[in-house]
Amino acid sequence: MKQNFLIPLACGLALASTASAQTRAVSGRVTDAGGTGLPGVTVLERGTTNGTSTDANGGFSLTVQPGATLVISSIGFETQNVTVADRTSVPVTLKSSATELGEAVVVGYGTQTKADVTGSVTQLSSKDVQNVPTVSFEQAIQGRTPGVQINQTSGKLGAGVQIRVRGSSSVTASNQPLYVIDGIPVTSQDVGSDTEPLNPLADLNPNDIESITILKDAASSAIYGSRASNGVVLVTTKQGRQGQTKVNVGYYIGTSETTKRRKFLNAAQYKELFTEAATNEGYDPREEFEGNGLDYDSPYDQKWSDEPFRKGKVTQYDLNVSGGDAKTRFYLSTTYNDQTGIIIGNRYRRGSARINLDHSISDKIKVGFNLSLTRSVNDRTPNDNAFSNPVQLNALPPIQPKYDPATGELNRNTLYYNNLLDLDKGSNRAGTYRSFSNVNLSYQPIKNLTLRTEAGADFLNLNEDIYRAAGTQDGGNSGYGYSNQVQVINYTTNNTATYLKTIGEDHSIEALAGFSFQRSDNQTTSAEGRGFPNAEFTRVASAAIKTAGSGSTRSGFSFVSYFGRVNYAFQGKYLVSGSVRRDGSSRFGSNNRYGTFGAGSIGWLISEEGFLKDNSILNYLKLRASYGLTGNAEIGNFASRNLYGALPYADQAGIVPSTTVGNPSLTWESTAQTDIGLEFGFFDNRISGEVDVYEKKTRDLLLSRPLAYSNGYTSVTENVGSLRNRGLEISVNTRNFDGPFKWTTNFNISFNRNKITSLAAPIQSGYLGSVREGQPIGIFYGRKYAGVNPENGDALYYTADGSTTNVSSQAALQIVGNPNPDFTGGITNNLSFKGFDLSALGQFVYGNDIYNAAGVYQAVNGDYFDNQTIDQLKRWQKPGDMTNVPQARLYAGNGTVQSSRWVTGGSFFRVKNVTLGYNIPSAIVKKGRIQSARIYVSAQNLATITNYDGYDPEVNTAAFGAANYLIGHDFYTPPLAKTYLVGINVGF
Amino acid sequence: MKTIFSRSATVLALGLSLGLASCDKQLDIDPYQSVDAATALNNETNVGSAVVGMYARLDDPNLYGTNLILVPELMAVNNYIRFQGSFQNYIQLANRTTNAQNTSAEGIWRAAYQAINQANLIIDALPVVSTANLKSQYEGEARFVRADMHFELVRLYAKQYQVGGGNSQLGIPINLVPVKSVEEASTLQPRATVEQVYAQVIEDLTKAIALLPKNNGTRASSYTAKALLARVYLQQGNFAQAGTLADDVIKNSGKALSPTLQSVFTNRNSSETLLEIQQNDQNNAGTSNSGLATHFASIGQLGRGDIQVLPAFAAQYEPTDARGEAALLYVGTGTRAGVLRSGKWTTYGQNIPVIRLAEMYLIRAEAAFRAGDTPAALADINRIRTRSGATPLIATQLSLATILRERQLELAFEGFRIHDLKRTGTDIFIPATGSNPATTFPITSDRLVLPIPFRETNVNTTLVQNPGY
Repeated sequence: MKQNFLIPLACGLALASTASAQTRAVSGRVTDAGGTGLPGVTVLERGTTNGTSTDANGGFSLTVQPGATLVISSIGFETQNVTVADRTSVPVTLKSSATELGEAVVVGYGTQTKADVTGSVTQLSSKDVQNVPTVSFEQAIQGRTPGVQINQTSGKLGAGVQIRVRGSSSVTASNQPLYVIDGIPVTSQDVGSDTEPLNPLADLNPNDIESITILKDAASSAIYGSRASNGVVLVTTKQGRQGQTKVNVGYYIGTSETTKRRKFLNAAQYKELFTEAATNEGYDPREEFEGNGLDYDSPYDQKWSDEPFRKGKVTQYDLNVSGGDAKTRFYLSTTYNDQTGIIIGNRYRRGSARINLDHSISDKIKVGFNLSLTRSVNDRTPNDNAFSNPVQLNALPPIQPKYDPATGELNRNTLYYNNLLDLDKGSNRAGTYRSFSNVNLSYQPIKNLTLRTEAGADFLNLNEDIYRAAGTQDGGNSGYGYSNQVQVINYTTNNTATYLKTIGEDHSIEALAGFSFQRSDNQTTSAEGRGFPNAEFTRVASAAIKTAGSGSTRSGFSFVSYFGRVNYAFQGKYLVSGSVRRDGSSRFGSNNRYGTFGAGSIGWLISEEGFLKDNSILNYLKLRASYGLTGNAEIGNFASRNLYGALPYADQAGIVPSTTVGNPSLTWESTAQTDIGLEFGFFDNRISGEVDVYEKKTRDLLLSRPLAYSNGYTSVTENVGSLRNRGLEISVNTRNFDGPFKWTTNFNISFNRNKITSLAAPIQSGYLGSVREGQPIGIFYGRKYAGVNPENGDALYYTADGSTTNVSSQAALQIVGNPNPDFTGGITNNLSFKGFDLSALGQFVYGNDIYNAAGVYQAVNGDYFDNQTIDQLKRWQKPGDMTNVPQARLYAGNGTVQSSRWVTGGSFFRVKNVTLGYNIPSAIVKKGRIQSARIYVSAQNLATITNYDGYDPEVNTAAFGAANYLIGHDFYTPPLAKTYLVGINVGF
Repeated sequence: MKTIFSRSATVLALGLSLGLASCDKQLDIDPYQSVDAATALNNETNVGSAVVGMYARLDDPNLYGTNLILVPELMAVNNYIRFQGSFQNYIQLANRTTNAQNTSAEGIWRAAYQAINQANLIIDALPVVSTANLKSQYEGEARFVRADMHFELVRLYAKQYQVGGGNSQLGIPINLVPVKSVEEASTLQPRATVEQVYAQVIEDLTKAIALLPKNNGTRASSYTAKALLARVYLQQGNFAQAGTLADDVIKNSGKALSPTLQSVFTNRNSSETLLEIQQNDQNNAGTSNSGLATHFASIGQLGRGDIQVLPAFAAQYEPTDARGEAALLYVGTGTRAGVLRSGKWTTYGQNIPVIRLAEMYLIRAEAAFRAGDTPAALADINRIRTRSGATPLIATQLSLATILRERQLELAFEGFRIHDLKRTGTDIFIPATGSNPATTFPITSDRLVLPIPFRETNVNTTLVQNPGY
């Protein structure tokens, strides 16, 4: 492989030739509106890669062609084009940009200015993700991303985050976007062995992020070919800039609480309800209580529902140093983050260090090296469906005390497992070592051509350790230990040639060709044992019996890709772009090894036309359109194969066929996406924004076509179905006040409509989530609850003809809810006055339904002895009672079947983040060699407005598996944390 | 400029095509934990491994690992056991509120047909087995498993076989074809009649008896097949044939009752068992959400304590009867402590006796009694009773009811209850509770037949759902 990826580079070297022309030196100083020099601003000769960045005082000098135009850009400022003409000195004042129209945008294998981009992209900057008390960066950008829905799914630290770029494009393959960090695709999906997923992106320190770009349409993403259908998230880490060395030190500390708790019955209410439930069924209540180990005369009133939670805390220490000279630039950082979760036993710690270096060997050759090392330790919370999940404590009867009065120790004789014992006598820890690295070399053999080769690696080492001493549920009578070591080695090489050329005044061309190879290898080694001498022995080596969880596995995949892109602009107002990628993958069946993907797009900068130029109202208007084909290759590594695996029979080795049938034609899913976008700016960009409409049609959906079990298999994976996402995204930025008092607002709203257009057979989960033709993915399908018969207290369900029945098995199965929201969005207000700044981010989700799958246990009018939610007191008691809660009947299954009874609206508006900061005036701070100092207070998830009656409307349990159609299911899922913090950043 | 373009294009194209050729190899990654189906059964050793795999399938929690034993008990809990756990699928079965989405009903169906297909694949691969006795043994084992699974399915998913009736009521699809490809796996088979299914079961078992060795270690021997066939005939009400086969097994199999019933469950592969599912600490049907000990046991932290044995049932064991004493019927000390639990299922890795000699004595006794041979019946019944220290019955105490009761006492918690009630047409007795008077639940009720899984009727539209679902 090695010699091959060096070939494009070698070809480039052979092409070295000299370019000679008349050049002139130009220098200048870039300042902000207040006249302060701006360091690190990019100064680029338009149409070339010739450029530099400003020094600490904003000064620069550059040698340019006659008649050159300089493109001056910096994040947070509007990009300016300055004609040099025959000047030798060019002063530039940059306008700060609330609208980010002129911003440099990171795209696949390159960058573009936003005005030149013909695709649909959302870019976020470091300020959106730094110093937010979340574990991973995606959690910090919620509400800021039109067209991208981000769901944290639970309040567990370091748990998986669900991201949908323009809806769900797949039913069975992954729906998560491709993550690319500094050009290298990284391992972004859970590699652990627990049902509860870990988020591998948590290993990236959010404070190291310079920008996050989300490629949403085909034009921007098709360069990533078979992995682009779910969108692509490009993360760029901070680079040093030429100029004075800057040292930044940051610290914050905070405290956290649950966003909400639920109310359950107290002892008196519990006894009342269950006495009534037993009596109604003709049982002697005392006998039934005792038969289930409950003391009918218990004097206790234990509030179990408070036991899973506690006050959490967060702290972070952050140090970074950056700077450099004309030859070498560097960025060094180290951060330590420690979060103690709101769920008992849950804690996440991460220490990370990064070095990003780039060096100019000569004017033509540059090398760069990025390396990060992260160590994280996560004291985990068990999956929601485990009795050891602390939230399940809310099922314990309040008449059972937490501590056994006889021994004073944790009560072992509870109705269900008193999982407080787990924390007392065990641990569940995931430790990760992670390194992202990238070595690159770029060479400019001739003026307009840049050859770049890079090799990147993503090493992930995860160590999961679980120990449960004797006396815990998993520990049984002798103790249980488990240790799992996962190693994921993922390496990539990208080799590109970029040619930039401006021909005359009118034509500018950028062409890119490249080759890429990626290989990922995943190996696991685990050991599991039972039978520990005592609780002090915690490693499997001490276990008497090594059990079935011991073993080792290996898997892997590879991609070979060729790609190219051409961008052409005529007179800077007519833009055309096309990209193509050919991907081969080990995952694709032998009949379909390679696929070709691509996109074309056009843009028209209408505001550059004569009839609009210098229009005092409308200062910016761009229309763009794109169409392209992308794929989804997350189809499993060996799903195309017909395989036999080992199945041991006690101590004998057996083999059995896989329960699924192989399919040699299996291949990627294809998505054809059309996007039309309009970008606008009014009144000198006082009001600006972007509107996009899109249609994503996905075909060849990888569907597990269910096979009749009677033939011995469960399913075959085929490229059969199709679905569609249509949507509208609107983002509006306004500068409401632009004087000494500044107030800007960003509002975004996204509408996505998903529809399954063709399907082999309906897919029904074990819960309500399902996939049905003509319906959006995840539609809730099941029995429809019809309330309570006021005559007799029977639970009623709707039958097919709309009448009601009290026999649940005769109820008609039908659509009972939709977990997909009608719209989502966010609103951000930034205010500043003198040294004060205030930002407030609100996030909203509207129109989705949530199914509380735990309702069958916790809200079933006393069917079994689980403690009930307080609303169950409204049960039917006598003829004529009008209520939705059926008569309490112990064991009788009155209204207990899975149904719409526990489906509720999940809309919410959340005050996601409020931050108030104060920059200490420089006159004061500069006395002590300090350049800047900012103190701030911040609140995350400050308030949530919702009708959802569970813990938190931002929920999706991971306990039932990761199926894409299990959306909006709650199952003893802990709520998010509400965090208050105070912090300080000091710059030297 | 033009030359630079064309030169660079040429060299790049060259570089890329070189890359293409050798990169193709990089795309060939084979799985590490699996082998390709095309070569999986290509020699004698591999077919032998598949036969072991077929037995391993039987230990699936949906088959003998849990459900084929637990579900027939739960379908007639009254006056016997109570399901105290939280699994909805089991609660529905115990409450007779089962619907077509019941996960146990789906799981048994799926796992049984997987075992059937494995048997078919083995039969299909027999030509590569060159050792003659192995070839006949493997075929016999495959036919045995195929018959057993069809029999378990037809008992659970169809109405009871009627003596002397046409038995044209719907049974289950019969699958005798090795399914290897998508095309084969996509065929839709309708339900055969109960008569057809039983005929197939008997045919397979008859052939298996001829093919299997008399002794086959812990795996199915010809006597195992005979014992199963005795059970099949009993379920059909063909008492004479059942009795003859049971007699053959008792006399000739070399098996003998263990000194105590408890030892059948605590020891492995005792002299009494004709078929025992092998488990150990590494490989078993489950330790947290499935497995027999998981559901039945309540010993410290072991077991979920889901199945309570009701005092009314326990009271039927007389004081000296070991089957009612602490080892086999103990007071739970773990989850939901303080009530009676079955001592048959107490460790996760224990073997699971599926057919044991005591059942053959009980079959022979019942057959003899029905044929009017009371002394023979009495001898067999007392043999079972005295082993456990129960007082021997005298001739005047012997009746069909006492024989059936003895079956219940001996084979409790081993997956016999609903099948025995159905074949004898005994309605389920529901004792009085509090203000509710005692009543019975008709054994012929639709609710006592498992639904064809909802998923299966969705996929296979030729299937007719059972009435009531």
